[in-house]
Amino acid sequence: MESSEEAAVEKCRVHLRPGTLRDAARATLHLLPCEVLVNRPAPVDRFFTPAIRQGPDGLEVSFRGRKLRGEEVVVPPGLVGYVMAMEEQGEVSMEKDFSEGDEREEQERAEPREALERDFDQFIGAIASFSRFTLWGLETIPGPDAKVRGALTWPSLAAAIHAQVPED
Amino acid sequence: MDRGGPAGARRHVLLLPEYLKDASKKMKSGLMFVKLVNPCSGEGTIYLFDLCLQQLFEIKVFKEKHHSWFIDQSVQSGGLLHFATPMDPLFLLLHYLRKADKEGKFQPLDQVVLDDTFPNCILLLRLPDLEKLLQHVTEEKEVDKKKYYKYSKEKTIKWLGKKVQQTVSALKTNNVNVSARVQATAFFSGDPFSSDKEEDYVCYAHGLISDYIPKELSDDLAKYLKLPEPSVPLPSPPSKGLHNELLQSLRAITLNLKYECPCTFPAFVFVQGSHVVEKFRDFSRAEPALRCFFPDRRKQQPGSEGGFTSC
Repeated sequence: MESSEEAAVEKCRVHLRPGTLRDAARATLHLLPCEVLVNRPAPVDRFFTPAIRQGPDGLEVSFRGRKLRGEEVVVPPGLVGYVMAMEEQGEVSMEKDFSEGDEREEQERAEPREALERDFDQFIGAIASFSRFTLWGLETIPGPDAKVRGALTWPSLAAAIHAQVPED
Repeated sequence: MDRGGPAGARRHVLLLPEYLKDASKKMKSGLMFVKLVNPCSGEGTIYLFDLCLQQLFEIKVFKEKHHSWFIDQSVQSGGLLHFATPMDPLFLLLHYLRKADKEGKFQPLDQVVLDDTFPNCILLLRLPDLEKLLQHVTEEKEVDKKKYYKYSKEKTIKWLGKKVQQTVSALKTNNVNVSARVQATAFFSGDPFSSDKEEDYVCYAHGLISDYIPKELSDDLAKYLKLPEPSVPLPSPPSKGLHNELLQSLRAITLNLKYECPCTFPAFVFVQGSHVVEKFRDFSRAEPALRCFFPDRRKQQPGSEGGFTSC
């Protein structure tokens, strides 16, 4: 990337399309205890999901010869999970054409040039939502000590840190 | 879209407060991720503005080594989990007030919150009740109905002390927060905090607050709180230890919109500990470079695995 573009990054705003938060379809998520070094479509429902069994103390799946043990993790109350994707620049997707095009025109009429969105800005949208996911451990159930469970307590701790302090 | 469009794109798994979804009904725009200066590190960090709710959110990411997502019929590397949580904007304003204080005079806020590197900082001025917030950290003067502010270290330390106190009470009284502490403690190999001493709570809270202020202020705050000198390098100093364990699971990452992932790695690699157990070759074709919203972990600050960062 050229340095001029690097500089633009600091100025860029990534607009989250509000409508996508309402319209996002439910997705099924699995957090796997392994590295997958690509981001791409995968036939999860053909090879992974059908192999999941309810074991005596949780879910089990044999995955490429390895035994994974899993359990449901519920997103803490007051939060919603989203899967987001950047819109490619210059990509005028079909979806955007008919679902958001009108809205944007409408907005430009309604909020004349508030200039929140600039030409060099980017857009991101929710493509799916979730309220739970399956956490998998290699050979063992992740259990209550799983680090991600600790992480899920962060929002309530953050609320205390960022609450306004009382006046004198 | 010769690569099949969004199918091959990077996904970001993010937890948002539910009320953002409800508020989104009334808005067409005004929700945006921007890069602002991190008041602790001074580096560019991602925050989320909701200009409809007039609220600022910090973004932290949970990252644990050797994890990945299956999201419906796709696979996503990294296994990152982002959190957007409301943030007190005063931490960010403080950065600019301290900087402006070098000029040693009272100034209007719009002349203080200016930044050539992160010009989006002016969005902070759209947040509500700033005058009330600023009373905690500044001396003010009013001339011709315009307010002028000057950073006050004394007031700031006092304000931070209150922040620590309210964090301590939240840790003690709120079940979730207490369990957070227990879990954070459980991250340690050797648990040096078997007792629930007041000082442990204060150290922990001080560590949490220190993530939002420069080191100099953090040190002054420690003195004000009469915390033990950190000069004795304990194996796991309380504030550092707890703080690191929880917060380094949630590590701050730097938004780099233009970063290109050289995703040309082989395939599935099952890892147990750091030992590569087995490799899988399905889904193994090299992936073309992808534009990432959040940076790759190689661009992140060094830190422990399984930690938090702010974005």
